[in-house]
Amino acid sequence: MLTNYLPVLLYMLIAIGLVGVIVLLSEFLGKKTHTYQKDLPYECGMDPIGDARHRYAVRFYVIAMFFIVFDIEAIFLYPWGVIFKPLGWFGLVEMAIFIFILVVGLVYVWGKGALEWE
Amino acid sequence: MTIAIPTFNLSSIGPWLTLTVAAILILLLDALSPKGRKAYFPQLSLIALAVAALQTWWLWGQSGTDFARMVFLDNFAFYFYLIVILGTTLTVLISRHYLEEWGKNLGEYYALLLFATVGMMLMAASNHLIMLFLGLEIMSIAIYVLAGLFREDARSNEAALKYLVLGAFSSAFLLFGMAFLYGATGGNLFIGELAGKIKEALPLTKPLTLLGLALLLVGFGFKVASVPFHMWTPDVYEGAPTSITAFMSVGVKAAAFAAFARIMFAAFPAFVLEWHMLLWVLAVATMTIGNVVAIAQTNIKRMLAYSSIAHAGYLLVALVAANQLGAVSIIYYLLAYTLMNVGAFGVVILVGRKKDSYLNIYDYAGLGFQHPVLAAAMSVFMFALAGIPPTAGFVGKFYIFSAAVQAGYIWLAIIGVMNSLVSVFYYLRITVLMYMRPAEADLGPIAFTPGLVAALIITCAGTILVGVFPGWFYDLAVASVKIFPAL
Amino acid sequence: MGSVNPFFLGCTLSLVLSLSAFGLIMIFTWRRPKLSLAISLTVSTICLIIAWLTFIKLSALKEPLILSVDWMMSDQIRVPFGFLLDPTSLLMFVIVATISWLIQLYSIGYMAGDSGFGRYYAFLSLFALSMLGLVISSGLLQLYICWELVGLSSYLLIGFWYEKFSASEAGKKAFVVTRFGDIGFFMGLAFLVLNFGTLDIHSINSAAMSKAFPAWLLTPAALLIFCGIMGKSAQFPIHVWLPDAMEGPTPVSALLHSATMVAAGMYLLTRLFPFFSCSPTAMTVILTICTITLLLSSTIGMVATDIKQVWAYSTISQLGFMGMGLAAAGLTGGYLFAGFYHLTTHAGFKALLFLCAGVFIHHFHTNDFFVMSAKGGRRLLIPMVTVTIGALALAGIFPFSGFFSKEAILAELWNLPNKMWLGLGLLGAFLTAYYTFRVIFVLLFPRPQAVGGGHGVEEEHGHGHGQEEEHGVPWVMAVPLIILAGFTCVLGFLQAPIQKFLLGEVHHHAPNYVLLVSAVGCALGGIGMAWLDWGAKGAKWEGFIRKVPVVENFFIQKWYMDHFWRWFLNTVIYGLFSRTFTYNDRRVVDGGVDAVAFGTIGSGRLLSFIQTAFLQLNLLFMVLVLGGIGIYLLMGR
Repeated sequence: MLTNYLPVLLYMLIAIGLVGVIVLLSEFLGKKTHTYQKDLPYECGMDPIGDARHRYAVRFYVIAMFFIVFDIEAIFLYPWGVIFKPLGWFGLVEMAIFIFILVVGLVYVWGKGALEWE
Repeated sequence: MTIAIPTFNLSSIGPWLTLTVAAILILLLDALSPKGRKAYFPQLSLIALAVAALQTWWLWGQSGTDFARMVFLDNFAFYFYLIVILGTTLTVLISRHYLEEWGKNLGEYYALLLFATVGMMLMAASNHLIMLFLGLEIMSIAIYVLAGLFREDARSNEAALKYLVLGAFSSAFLLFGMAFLYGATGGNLFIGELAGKIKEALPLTKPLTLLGLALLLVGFGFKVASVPFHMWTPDVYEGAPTSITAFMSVGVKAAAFAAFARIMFAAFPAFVLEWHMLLWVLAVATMTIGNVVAIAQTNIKRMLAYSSIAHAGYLLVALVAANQLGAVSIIYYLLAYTLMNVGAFGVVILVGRKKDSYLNIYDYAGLGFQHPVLAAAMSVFMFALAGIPPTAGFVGKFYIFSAAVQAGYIWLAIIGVMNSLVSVFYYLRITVLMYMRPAEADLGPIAFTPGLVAALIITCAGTILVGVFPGWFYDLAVASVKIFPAL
Repeated sequence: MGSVNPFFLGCTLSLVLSLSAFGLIMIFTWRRPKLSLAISLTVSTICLIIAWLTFIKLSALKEPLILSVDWMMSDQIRVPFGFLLDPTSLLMFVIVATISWLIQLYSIGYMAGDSGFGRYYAFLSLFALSMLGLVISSGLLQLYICWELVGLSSYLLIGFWYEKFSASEAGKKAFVVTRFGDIGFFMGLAFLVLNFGTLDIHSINSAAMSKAFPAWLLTPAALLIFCGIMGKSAQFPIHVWLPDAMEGPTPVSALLHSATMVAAGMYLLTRLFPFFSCSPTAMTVILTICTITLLLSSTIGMVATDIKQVWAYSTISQLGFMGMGLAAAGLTGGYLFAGFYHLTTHAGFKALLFLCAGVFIHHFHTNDFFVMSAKGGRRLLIPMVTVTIGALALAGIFPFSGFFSKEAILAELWNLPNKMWLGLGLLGAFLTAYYTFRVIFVLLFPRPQAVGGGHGVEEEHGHGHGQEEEHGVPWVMAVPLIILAGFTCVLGFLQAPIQKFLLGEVHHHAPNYVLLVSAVGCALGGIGMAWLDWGAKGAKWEGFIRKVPVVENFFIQKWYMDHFWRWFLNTVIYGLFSRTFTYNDRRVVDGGVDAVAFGTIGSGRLLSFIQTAFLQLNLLFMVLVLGGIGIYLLMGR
């Protein structure tokens, strides 16, 4: 039984080893210059230290949500595209309904003015 | 490569389709129509609900499954369709004027109500735990939004946020429980087949199943607002728009109990002793804490929130009884509760006026002299909630407690009856205030709009009719619980 | 469900209409007398029409019509609700509908100007609802509910002038005393349903007729149910409420406390006649109690000075007489006809007597018929004639209705092997004739100087309206009198048709001349005695009973029954039980309840304090509970 999992173990060992080797190599081979900016956790973007209770414009979130929704729509389209032929008309109709509903959402969002920045 | 496309019959989910289409239509109309012309959404919703009810009536009597066994077609589900449709219809009726007062007569409101209704139906009819989860989420997400409808109101915001966070948590519990069951049964989540699979794998996976059961209990316990997962209820019920509170208290409860009962009755015969014991404790705690805390409330919405917790406790008693009468009494009681509770909230809306300025129970003093008919209606609802004959509440409680006695849970029935006695105190306090206390000030005019009046007439007449002539509804309920052969 | 039948629709309609009249008046129109009257009278008229139509259409009924709808069901319990239409209920239905219509008509005049006019009609509608429901109900539970509703409306109407202390006291007394009997009734029902399984009247009677009841079940059940009958029909020893109930408006006394409601007890006895007659023990007890009641109330009636009191005691005695007739018939295997026929005729002439009394009271503002007589009561022509007709019927004089029905009951008593009962019945008839004509003669032959001569306390009847009426009798009050007098004259000759209707066949007896002569002799003897004492020129205006002061005092004190109950309450209930119970109540129960109440409210406050708004705590709590449940499930077994 347990021997069945041997490849997994092997795979894990190889992965850990590889990561270790790469980290070690970069430690030895790399050239190190320490500056203040470079030692920050994130090299670019926001200042990570300070009050966490910032106020952001809610529009960012709205846009982000829209992005996720339509992103998922696009992702759904890929597997459908792969098995488009076996699914045939049935799949086409189903997908049309799916997209129609999302389009309704888009129309709604648009009509409500959520896409306008100002 | 070929893919077998399962055969299915669209008419078996006709009510859902109708409501979904109506909701989408409302959304489109709302987005496309110029501002200020939004008067027809309630009517549209009502028409859609009527059609859905008609479709349910046509479906009545069918049995089996559809959509690759994902969806149950049985009277149990259909009865709940009707209850949920009734609850939504009444909510739509009591909403309009209320929303206009708040300046929130939005298309989204009705669309979300209809979506939530579809989710509830899905919960009642799902034969697969994932479908159940989908239904739960469709319902919950719509209600999170509805609870926060009054964005300018801090309490409404609080309600929405609280309900969202805790609800998400409880959904996670539920999903986690399903995952355990998935593992325990070797990947089968069909509710109808769960019992067999669990039994098959019992020696190997007992702990896994038990953990799954525990998580499911917590998840459902949250949705039906049972103690100790009730913490959200008072705040959310108080903060949410009153019409949505009514909707939550009847619709969500009905749907959650439908799914809860179906899973418990169908899937866990192997652990009957365990879940009976747990639910016994939960039922007692829920009834007691709900009723006792309700006494101390002075805000009527909060009082009704605790009362709703207590009623969940009574329903849990019926669940524990787990016999045919118990199942019947759940269905019957939810019907009765839908009528009487929405009615009570209708009165709360009428008396509340001007953005809910009169929510204290002492605002009801003297109502009996200034608006005798309204007070009489409220008294009917209070009597019904307290379980005083000849109202529907009495018959429902009678069924529940006799089911408990029949199942041998004498003490549970006794505790339940004593709790009913406690509840009489705070329900009748409203009646006493209305009739025996002079008004502190003139209540002023109350706007009796057609929708509210219609809702009050329906609920009031229904509460009495269902209580005086329970036979027909009882027969329907008996026909619906035939699907549980184990009972 | 049975087929929907126009008769059942009619029955339902009459009940629903009465209920809605009550609701409408109580909620909306009680401040507006005219409108309330219109609503109530319309509904009452519709009920009257329905009742007579049903009665006529179904007069050739062979099998009883039953509509039964299961009201509340579970696996073991079935509570059917519905209507049972058979000759008995149809006749009673008509009686109730007719008399309550007449009373409503009469009350227009009697209650005119009363501040509670609308309320009065609302209560009358409530009474009509409950009484009609009682009459046609198919099951004993439904009957019991209506029975209690009748009790409630009786309470409301007795205490109608609630600002009058004695009236509200009388209402309470009636309510509480009849409860004694109803406890027995309820226990009987519970006993029956537990051991027999159904409360359906028809199936109980069929089972009784096929001897399906064991004796241990039958006799206790019958006796317990009879307790209810005793309470409602004011039989000894719980008759004490009925005379006090005369505090209510006189039309109410006519409707409830003589013609219909108190007859409900005897009606129930008739209804369950096959059931009762299966138990000779129970029937003997009933016969005894009814006989005692007959004699007791007749003797008290001989000395009362309040006209309504006389009629009240006469009602009690006639109810006892009906009970005797039924019990005797049950013991000898006879038919329910005699008792029920007397109920029918009695409803007519007793309502008539009360309404006449109402006219006098209304006119003279007194209840004492000696005072009425002195003020010239005989000048009121219509009431004087009709009251005489009623009195002749009550005394049992040919050709008025009472003669025939009394004759029928005495014939039943004749059939009993023990002739003592017959003798007592005849004695009752004699006394009845005596006290009835005492009233009539006093009214007819006034002697102003004799007023107040030791004839008890004059009692001013407190109406809500004191203004002087115009002279004469308003037509709304006269018409019912004339109609009822007509009934009284006619009903006697309808004996054969009514018998055919009730039993399906006429039982011809060879006329029993001995009985006939002795009965008429007793009646005439009573009247003659009354003439000697009160009517004749040289009469002393003293009852013959005055010669034995001890006995007279005994009668005036109403056989000391009120004293007995007072003593019983004081020593047994208050002294023995109450003291211990009070202690228990104060210390244990009250303390406990207080503790629970305060504890409940306090813990409610405490618990709502715990209810925090902190999401984190809520979540933590949920997780902890989940952990607990998990541990219980995994470790518990």
